[in-house]
Amino acid sequence: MNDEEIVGLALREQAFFGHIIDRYEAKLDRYIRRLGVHDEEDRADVLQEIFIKVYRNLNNFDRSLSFSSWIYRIAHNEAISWYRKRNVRPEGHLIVEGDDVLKLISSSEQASDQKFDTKGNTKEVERALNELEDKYRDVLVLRFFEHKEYAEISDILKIPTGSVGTLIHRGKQQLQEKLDQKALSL
Amino acid sequence: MNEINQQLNTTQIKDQVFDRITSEQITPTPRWRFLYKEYLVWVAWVFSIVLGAFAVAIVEYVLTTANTEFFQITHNSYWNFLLYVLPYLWLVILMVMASLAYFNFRRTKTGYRYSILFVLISSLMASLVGGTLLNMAGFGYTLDTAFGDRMSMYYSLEKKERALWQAPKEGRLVGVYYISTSTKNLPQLRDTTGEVWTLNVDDLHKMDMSTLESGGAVRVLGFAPEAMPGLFHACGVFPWMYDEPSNFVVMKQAREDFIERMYAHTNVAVERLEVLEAVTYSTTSGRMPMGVCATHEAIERISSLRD
Repeated sequence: MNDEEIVGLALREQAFFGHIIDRYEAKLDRYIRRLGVHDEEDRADVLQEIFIKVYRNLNNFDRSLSFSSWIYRIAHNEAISWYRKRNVRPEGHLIVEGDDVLKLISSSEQASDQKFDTKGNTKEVERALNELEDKYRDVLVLRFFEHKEYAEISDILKIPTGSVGTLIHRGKQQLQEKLDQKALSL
Repeated sequence: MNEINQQLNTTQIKDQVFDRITSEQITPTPRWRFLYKEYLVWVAWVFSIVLGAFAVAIVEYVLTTANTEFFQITHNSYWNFLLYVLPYLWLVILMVMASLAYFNFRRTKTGYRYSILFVLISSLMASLVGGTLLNMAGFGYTLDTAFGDRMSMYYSLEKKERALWQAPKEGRLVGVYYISTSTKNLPQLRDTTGEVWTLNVDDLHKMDMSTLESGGAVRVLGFAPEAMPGLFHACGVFPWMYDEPSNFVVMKQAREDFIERMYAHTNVAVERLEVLEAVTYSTTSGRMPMGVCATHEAIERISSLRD
C-alpha cells in the first residue's frame, strides 16, 4: 500500500495511522537530529508533535505533493519551532549514511584535489554546515543527506523551484570556503 | 541492539501519539475548514487584482483624457500639468494592491513554487489588462467621477479641472451660456459658483459661438477686466467634456481646433502697447479693444510654439 492509500484509510480508521508512524518515525528522527534537535527526550517530544500535527491535518494533505514531502514539511516546521522557542541556534548532527559526505564534498568545484578522510572530514563538514545560514544548510541537508529531489525540496521548504538549485550551488560554495578556511588555519 | 532499541522507541512514540490522540480527543480537522481558508486566500487575491484593475482604469483615464490639449492655458509646461493631474492616490493603491496580490498568491497551496518576480509581474499584468478593459468600457471615467461626486475629499479629474478652469482673475471660466431677456438679450454665462457674467463675444470665431450655444457646460478663455466687474471678454470657447466619457480621437480633434483658433488671434495686427493701454484705461465703452486676445498669457504661450 502506498502512503496516499494509507492516508485515506487512516481518515476512516484511526488505527491505520500507526502505519504512517512506522514508516516515517526513523526517517524523521534522523532528519530532526540533522536539523539540530539532539537530546533524545527532545526528539521524542518533537516527533510526537509532528505526528499529532500530521494526524490533525490529514484532510489537508495535498495530493499534488508526495506524502513524503508533505510530512517532511511538517517535520521541518516543527523543528524550527522547537529551537525558536528555545532561542538557540540550531547545530545539526550529521548522521552520515554511506558516502553522503563524500558526495557533498565531491560535488563542489574544488574537491578533486582533496584527500578525503571520512572520520575527520565528517566532523569538519558538520561544523562547516552548522556555520552556514539556515537557508543553505536546509537545502544541503535535504539534498545530500535526505536524498530529496529539487521538486521535493521546493515542496518541503515552500520555496520557488528555481531557487533550490541556486541555494544548493551557493551553499556548496560557502561550505567549501569554510572548509578551506579551516584547512588553512591548521 | 541498536535495532531493538529503535524498535522499542518506535513503539513508544506510536503509543505516546495514540495516547494523546485518545486523551485529548484529537480528530482530523474537517476538510471544509481547509477549503474555506484556501478559498479566502484566493478571494483576497482576486480582490486585490480587481482593486488594482480599478486603480489602473482610473490612472489610464486620467492620463489619456486629462485635457492635455489645453495644458498651455493653465500651465507653462506639460510636465507641470501632468504632476498636477496625476492620480497619486490610485498609484499608491495600485502598488499596495500589487503587493497584497503577491502576498496572497504566495499563501495559496502551490503559490510558493513561483518566483517573486513572476508572481509580482503576473499580478500587475492581470490588473493592467483588467484595468485597460474597464477603462475602454468607460469605467475609468465612471469610477473617478462617482468617487468625486460622493466623497468631498476625493479630487476627481473633473474636480481638478474645474478648480483650474474656474479662475476669473486668470481669465478662465466654466459655465453655461444663455441669453438673458431681462438684460436686453445680452449673452450671459452662469459659472459654476453661480455668478453671472455678461459676455463680450466680439472676438469669438464661428466654432466658438456654436460651442457656446450648444447648451452644455463650456470653458471660456478671456479677460475679466477689474475696471469692468461682471464683464468677461471671451477669446475662446471649449467644451467642458466631463459630462460623459470622451475618447482620444475627440480629444485630438479638440486640440487641433483649439490651436488653430488661438493662432488666429495672434494673426491680428495690432500695436501691442496700444492694446495694453486700451485694456488698462478703457472704461466707458464697456468693451475691450479688438485684438486684445493676442495679449492673453495662454495664447502667447501657444503662439510661441509656432515661433
